[in-house]
Amino acid sequence: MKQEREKTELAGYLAHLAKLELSDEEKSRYSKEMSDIINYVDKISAVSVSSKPLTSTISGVSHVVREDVATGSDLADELLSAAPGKKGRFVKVPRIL
Amino acid sequence: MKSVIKTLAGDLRDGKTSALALIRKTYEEIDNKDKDINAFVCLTEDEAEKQAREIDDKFAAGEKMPLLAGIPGAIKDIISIKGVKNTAASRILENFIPPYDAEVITRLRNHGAVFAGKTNLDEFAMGSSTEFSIFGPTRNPENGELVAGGSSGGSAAAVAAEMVPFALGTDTGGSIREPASFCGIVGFKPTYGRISRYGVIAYGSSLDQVGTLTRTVEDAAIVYEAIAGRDEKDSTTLDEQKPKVLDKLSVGVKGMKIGIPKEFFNEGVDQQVAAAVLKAIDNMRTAGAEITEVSLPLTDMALAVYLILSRAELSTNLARYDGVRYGLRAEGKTMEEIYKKTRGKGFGGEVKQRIMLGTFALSSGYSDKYYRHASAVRREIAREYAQVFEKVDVLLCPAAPETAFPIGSKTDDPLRMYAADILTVPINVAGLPAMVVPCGKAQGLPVGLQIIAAQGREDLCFQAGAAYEKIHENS
Repeated sequence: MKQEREKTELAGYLAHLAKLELSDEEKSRYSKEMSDIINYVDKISAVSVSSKPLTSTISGVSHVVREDVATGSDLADELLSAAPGKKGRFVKVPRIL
Repeated sequence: MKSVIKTLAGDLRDGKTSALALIRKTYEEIDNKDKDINAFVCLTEDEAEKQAREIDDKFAAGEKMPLLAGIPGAIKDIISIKGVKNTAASRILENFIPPYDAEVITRLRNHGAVFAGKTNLDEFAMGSSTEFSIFGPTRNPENGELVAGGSSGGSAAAVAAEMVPFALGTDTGGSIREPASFCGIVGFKPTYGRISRYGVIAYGSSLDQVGTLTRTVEDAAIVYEAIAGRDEKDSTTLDEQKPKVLDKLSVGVKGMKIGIPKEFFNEGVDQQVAAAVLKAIDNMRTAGAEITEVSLPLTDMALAVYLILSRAELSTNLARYDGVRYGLRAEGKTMEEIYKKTRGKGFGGEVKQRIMLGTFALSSGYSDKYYRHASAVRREIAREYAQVFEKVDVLLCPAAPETAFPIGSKTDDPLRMYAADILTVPINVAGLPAMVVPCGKAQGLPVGLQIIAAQGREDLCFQAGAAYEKIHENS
């Protein structure tokens, strides 16, 4: 029981970090699923590695740069129109400060 | 098998048909078949007819046109077409209309391809069955009680049911190859970085790759050549010259060195599936290929590595869906409340669970053990493949451990669902190109032969794939 409660609490904390509003039923379901998956993926700890974690793409692309040249785009109005709340040319949200 | 695209392209040039007639025929097929399959989530008839008329005008004016001109295709609903809803099968993007084309769409447009509509998928491409979709499941054209595979299930089913000659999909852990296997068609995922992902909704950015679903290997080559190659707008694309694949289709496999990775035939693989693949390998030997058994001992770790990395990446990528700039917004008095309500309501269950797991794998105290370690194991896996490819040209194995499974049979058991990708995820982890070609049946259902090559060697996938397709056709 105690373990169950701890798992659900962890689920609640992760949901808070991930900014997800979840029902109690969801929390309990996801914590069960997550613990099965974590048990499964724990097996990688048995692999000893000489490599460092990957810092380029897996096909070796890294440090991609291009000339610092300004290019135009006429998408601003269309991108703005996708926002669910707007006022003029601003995206509208509740007061932050 | 004769290329469907080439046949239609020939008919267009001989005046036997027109682009407009082709797209109308496509909608007729969809009308007749798709109520039982549910491959399409959106049809773009007006725009497609307009595109087709423009192509017909160019043919009439005697312009020299690319092979794909006037050929209808379907696009997975996670790839942006300007002005057409791009939902990712998610409530959170249900009404999202992108204001620009993905690079692959721009390239297909330049080749004159006509877009019939958008196809069904698992929400944000997260699934192996196309059941986790706000549009309901896509059904397997072979048997409506079974899944089409996923996440590119809509694209696979649309091609398998002959509604369109080609479709685009995306493949993060097998999402092109597993549905291709389940539906009995050709699926191709290139080397990581070969095709631009500009305008494609991100899932696991170090793994995602766009690819093709077609009925023949030659069709895959035609579409691949049209869309592959460096794009300045996607800095992960490969700089090098892409290998030409169309002229490899008739080379054959005489003297080709083929490796059989023994770990891909373990006890988890259905015996009839393994038998069909072993028969295909035997046919390749008869055709002159040199077959050797090889070992990739870390294969067993690949799914675990994939689960950690893909979840970590998706939890980061999906942070952008916050109800502010686009997509769904739930009302709230504070930003925090808007974020949580929007995301709680907008994402489906599987996606939420994955975001939680990714958040866990990246959280303080766990990120070294999970994310960083998985990333290091990933390099070991890639090294293992690189070593094997010093000895062989391609690897042959099954694409999936089983044939298409019944709808609803795995939705409540995530690990069983994820195991459907156990033979495809290692390829994404190592960044390799791989093709799936139909190779017979097990339990009366399609089985796919997976052909894997070294990074950058798409040409070898096509060479072996086309050779096998020919053998299979004549057997």
